[in-house]
Amino acid sequence: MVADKSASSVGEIYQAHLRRNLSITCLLVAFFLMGVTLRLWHLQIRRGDFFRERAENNRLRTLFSYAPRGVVYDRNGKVLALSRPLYKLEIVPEDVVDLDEVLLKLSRIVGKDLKDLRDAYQKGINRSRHQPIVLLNDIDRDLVGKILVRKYDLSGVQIGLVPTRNYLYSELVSHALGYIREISEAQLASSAYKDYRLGDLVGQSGIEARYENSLRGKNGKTQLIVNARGTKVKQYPLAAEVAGSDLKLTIDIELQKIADAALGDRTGAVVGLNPKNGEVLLLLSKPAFNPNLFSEALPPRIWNELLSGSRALNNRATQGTYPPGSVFKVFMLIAGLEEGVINSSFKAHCPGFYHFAGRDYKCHKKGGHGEVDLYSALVQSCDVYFYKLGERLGIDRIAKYAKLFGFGKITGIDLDSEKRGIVPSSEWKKMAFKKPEQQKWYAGETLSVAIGQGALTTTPLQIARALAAVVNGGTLFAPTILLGEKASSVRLRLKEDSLNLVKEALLGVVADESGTGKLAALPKDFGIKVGGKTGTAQVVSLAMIKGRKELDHHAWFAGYAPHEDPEIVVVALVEHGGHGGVEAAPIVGKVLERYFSKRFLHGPGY
Amino acid sequence: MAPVIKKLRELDLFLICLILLLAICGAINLYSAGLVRPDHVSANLSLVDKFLSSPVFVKQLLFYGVGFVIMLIFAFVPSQFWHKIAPYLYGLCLFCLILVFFFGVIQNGSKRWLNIFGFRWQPSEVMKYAVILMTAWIIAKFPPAPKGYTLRELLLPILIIAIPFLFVAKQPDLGTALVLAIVPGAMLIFVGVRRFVLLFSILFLLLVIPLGWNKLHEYQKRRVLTLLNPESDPRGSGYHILQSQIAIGSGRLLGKGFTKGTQSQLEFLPEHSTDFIFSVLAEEWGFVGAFFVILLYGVFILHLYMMVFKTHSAFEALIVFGITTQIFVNFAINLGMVIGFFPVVGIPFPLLSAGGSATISTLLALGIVLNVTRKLRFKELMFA
Repeated sequence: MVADKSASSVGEIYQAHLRRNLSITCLLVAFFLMGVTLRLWHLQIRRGDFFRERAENNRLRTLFSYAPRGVVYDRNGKVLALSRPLYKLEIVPEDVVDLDEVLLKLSRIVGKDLKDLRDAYQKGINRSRHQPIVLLNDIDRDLVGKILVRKYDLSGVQIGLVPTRNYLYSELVSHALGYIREISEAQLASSAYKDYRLGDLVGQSGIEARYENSLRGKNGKTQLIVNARGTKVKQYPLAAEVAGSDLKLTIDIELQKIADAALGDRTGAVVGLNPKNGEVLLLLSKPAFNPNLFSEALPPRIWNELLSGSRALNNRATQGTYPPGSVFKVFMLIAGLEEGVINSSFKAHCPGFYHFAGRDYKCHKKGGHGEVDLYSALVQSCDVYFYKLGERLGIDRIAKYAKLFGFGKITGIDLDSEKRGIVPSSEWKKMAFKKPEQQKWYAGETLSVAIGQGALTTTPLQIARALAAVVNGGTLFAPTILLGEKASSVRLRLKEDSLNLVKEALLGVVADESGTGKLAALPKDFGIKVGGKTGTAQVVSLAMIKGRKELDHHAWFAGYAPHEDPEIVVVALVEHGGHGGVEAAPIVGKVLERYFSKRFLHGPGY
Repeated sequence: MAPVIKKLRELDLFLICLILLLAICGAINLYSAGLVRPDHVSANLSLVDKFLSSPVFVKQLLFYGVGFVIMLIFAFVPSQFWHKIAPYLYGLCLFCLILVFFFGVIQNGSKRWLNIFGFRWQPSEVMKYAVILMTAWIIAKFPPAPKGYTLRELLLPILIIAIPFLFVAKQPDLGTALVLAIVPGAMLIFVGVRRFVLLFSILFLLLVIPLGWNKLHEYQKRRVLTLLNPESDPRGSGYHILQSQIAIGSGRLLGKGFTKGTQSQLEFLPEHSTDFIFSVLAEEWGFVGAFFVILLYGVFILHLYMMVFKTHSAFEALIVFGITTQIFVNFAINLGMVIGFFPVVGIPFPLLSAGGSATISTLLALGIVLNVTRKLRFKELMFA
């Protein structure tokens, strides 16, 4: 470096060169400013709306308050399901003054380990410090009281309230009512549940599921403005909660109780219908479950037992499909009469078996019934008569009438996952089997279907509404379970004569000395005639084929009363119960007795 | 009074107006940024109460006032004074930096402060200006040949720059260290270096950057990486940059209105009265307000650069260039960080961010500029 002794002035340094460098500097500055301006343009103008939304999301929070769920009543106004408050012990982080002290005090009051409370707090803590953290779920009223009394020195502690269910008759109406349970992830993902949030309780089956929207009501909403620490700055209400609508069912809890007692510990179903309007008076399936258990987290052991063990969640009245056995003979007779292949004087000889295609088809009575006509064939449930009838009708005409009476399709009751059952026919066989040799319909199979066996399966509710159609003069209802709702119905084109002939025979089944359903009769002093049909359906199961164990038959009874102007149809099914006349008929008898007892005591018109 | 006014008229009044305008913008914006209870502003408060509800604003007004007085006083300190003390000031600052290295106070994981009689100060802040004076002094003493400095001639100036740089980078305070190196470096390039030296330094930097990357602390690396994708860690290292961009972007064209910025008032925006003050401005005044301040700043910086040739010696010219570059580099790094161009480094926006020492030292430096660009200095020149 060359030392510059004189006080150097700008002029002495290479001036033009400096001016150029300064211009470059100024250009760089201008360049940078342009870049900044473009960036601001990009952030504020092009993406302004996006960032405005992000800013709003930062500061706005919504708090929800739950509406009480609608109450469910039986037809006489008895409460079946209540909305009950579920109290939760909660803590709001932003309001806590001294966390350790508060948790210590709480642990003394509730008698829990301090560690458990601290763990619950740690698990729940997040950036939203205004959001309550649940320390304990479902605490009892005593504890609520104890905590509220000391609230003044429990900073940040509050009692949260979520409406849950109290099913007053726990297992008694479980299948009709269904249950509510915490919303599943699959449900949350579906569009049908778009305004639900994690942890919400949702109707999962029965009435609770079908009428979820009206029972649920509307949750209240409060808008909060929070700051970066999650502390509430302002709040204003957005929507008040609207309580869910109450529902009144057509079910009569008293009949439900009687049927439950009559069925006892056996597996099965009892259905009661009003044949005049299609109202379901009784819908029982056993084993049943306690719907009160579901609003809380259910231990997997119990859950598995409900699903696979006893299959208690299965509503056997609408989801259980069973061969109807002799109950089906009622509809065979109508088919025969309508098609003109028999009349009231058509007779058959029953030696105890029917020889057909090189095989003997047995009648349930070993010695045979001798000569039977329409009336005696139904009263004594003679199989040979119906083998002959079936042979004359052929499978496709049988199927036509079975379908006419609603078999092979759902009844349309307001409950989910109803089963259809199977009405076999030559066409059905082609659809159901793949191999050509399996697709052929054999005439022998027709004989099985004619006595309600073979591939034919029905649900108890299907039997009830089909019988209702026979005794009410030919109206097939889609049963309803909601009181005041008019059940939709189909008018069947049937001759009055055929219906009356069959009804006379149904009366005989219960009233005659030789009838199979005598045990369903009402006491003489009631003065009410009962009609009906027994069924004892053979069960062909894998276990039986392997010869391990012979399963008992399913016991059926489908009855109605009063005979002259029927107002109730009751169907009882006992899985592997044995003989229908012995096992099922008394159940129906007891339900009818209860139904008519009030009238008997108080006189007509009650 | 008359002679004082006469003296004042010698000063660059346009520059003073620009500084005043920027200070007014800064004060208005800081009032909003520093509001303690934003809700109560609309309530029926007396004017005084409203004034006092933003303590940051009140303090900053004080700093502006003190700063202006200091600026005007230093506008009349002759440049010979700075020329005389430049080497000593530099030496003192270096000594303090060494003291910091051994006896500094650790805060937030870095050793930047010196505790003298209970008063805590950062020698690196003064060093920013001392190194400018020192560089101007050495360039004036050993001016380059017309073709520019050779590498050998640059050894001494580079040493002068590198020693404080290394001490400050070690603290660690990379932001300040970079400013410490960039500004005198720019001064050297401005007066001229040989072309091959320029090429050599660029090559050198390209080599050093990958090596330096490994020397960076984990949090510093993260800051750089999150700049590329702030959404990758929105709650952690990306939080500052993301919230800042949300604040700026959500202002849209016209802004949310004075004291109505949700990001700043609800404190989603961190450091909103210091490092991220510009985000508050952009949120509440929108593109229009932000652009106005950018434009004002552009005029301010360019005007300062124009003043380089209104001086009377190489030393003075270099001081003006250095101080202007200093302000511009701080402005650019802060703005670049706030809008997502550069990684997050704690450098305030000159004259707009709250803070006593930064405001006062900037105004003091501007006082020096006012002094060397005074008009009507015949007498002084004649009798110098």
